[in-house]
Amino acid sequence: MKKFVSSILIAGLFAAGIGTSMAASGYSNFNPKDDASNPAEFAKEFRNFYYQNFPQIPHDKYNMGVYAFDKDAYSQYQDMMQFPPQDDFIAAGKKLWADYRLPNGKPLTSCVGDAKGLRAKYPYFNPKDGQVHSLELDLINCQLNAGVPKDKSWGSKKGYNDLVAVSAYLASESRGMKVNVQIPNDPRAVEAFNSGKQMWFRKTGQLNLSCADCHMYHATQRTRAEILHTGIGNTTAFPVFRYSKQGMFTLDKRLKGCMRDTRTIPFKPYSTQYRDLEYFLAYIDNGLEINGPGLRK
Amino acid sequence: MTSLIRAITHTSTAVLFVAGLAVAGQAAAAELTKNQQEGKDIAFSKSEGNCLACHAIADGKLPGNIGPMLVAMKLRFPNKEDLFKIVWDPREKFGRGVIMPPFGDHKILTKEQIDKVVDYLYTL
Repeated sequence: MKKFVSSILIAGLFAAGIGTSMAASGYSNFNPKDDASNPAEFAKEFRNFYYQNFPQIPHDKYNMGVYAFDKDAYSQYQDMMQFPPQDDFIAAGKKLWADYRLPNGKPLTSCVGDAKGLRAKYPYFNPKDGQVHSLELDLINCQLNAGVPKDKSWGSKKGYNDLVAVSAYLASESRGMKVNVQIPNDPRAVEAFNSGKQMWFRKTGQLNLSCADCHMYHATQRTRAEILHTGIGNTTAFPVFRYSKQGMFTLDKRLKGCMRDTRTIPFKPYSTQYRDLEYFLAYIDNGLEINGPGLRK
Repeated sequence: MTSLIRAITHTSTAVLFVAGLAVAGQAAAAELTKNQQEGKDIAFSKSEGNCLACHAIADGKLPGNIGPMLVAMKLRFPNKEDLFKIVWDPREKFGRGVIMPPFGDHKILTKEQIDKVVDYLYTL
């Protein structure tokens, strides 16, 4: 046995030159002041954790996910982007946006405004109901408020394809604009941010995982062949076409999938919890370029 | 000695150990008992142990690199019960922030399954 172990050790030492790359828990710790009344300060501390630990990632490239720091993944991405699968969704969404009429005969622009730059206004805190609104939820609410029955609306399973096509089109109409999420001076808005923050850090599910476990403390490492992306730039590319699933995903649906993967019973779609998490993540992304609809694994 | 092993098993690039793994793979190949083989199946299964998600193991393809590689386990855990306890609930040893799931405490695997996995790990 001893001989066997030492043969491994020798092989390892020989190949490695030990001590050069001790990375398993080599990241500098995240010890924020964590002032619950000051989201701006927390966001800064949060981003600095990544800037310090991953100097290889240029700040403005965080919106590319793993493609910002993994060459192989990036070349695969470039191949896929020769014929971007998102384009069909954008075209279908554009047509829907132009043709769709609410029961009162008016187009969706009468409810949410013009397509240009619309995606860049989301998510936002609405002082009227004290909640964070996401783009997809507002589109669905336009229909429901105009009298479309729920099972015929884009919030239903059947309506999802239309919803995500329009979402893809709207994202394309905000490409190149910067994420600019505001947290107004309203305790409910700060609370929404903090609730999203808790979603990020709270361990959950049978697997007892938090978002931060993988995408903060072990970002850029691998689970099997999957490279773990970081905590910055998660919102800019949504909706994204996932080539592993061959479908377009809204951020809401993706977050629900993340949650299910920890073996938690997920919250219902468009729950305040997802919207708060989206608010948190998007606020972290402030200043990054919107590059949706994106392409991800 | 053990600290040296720990240092090596924590190096980030699994590639460095291809040589070592090949040796281990040959040594471990034919000799598994029924229990050990069942433990290996559980360890490698995506829906059960899924150890390869984070740990490099001899004979395992495309391992993750989050946890230390599973090698020389008998030497590192002379007391088998210590190894069992880590798989059952790693929080006891590593604190509640640890990323490894509590396989026993959260009923991801049964006690019998973890026993088999530990039997297998001891062959590594």
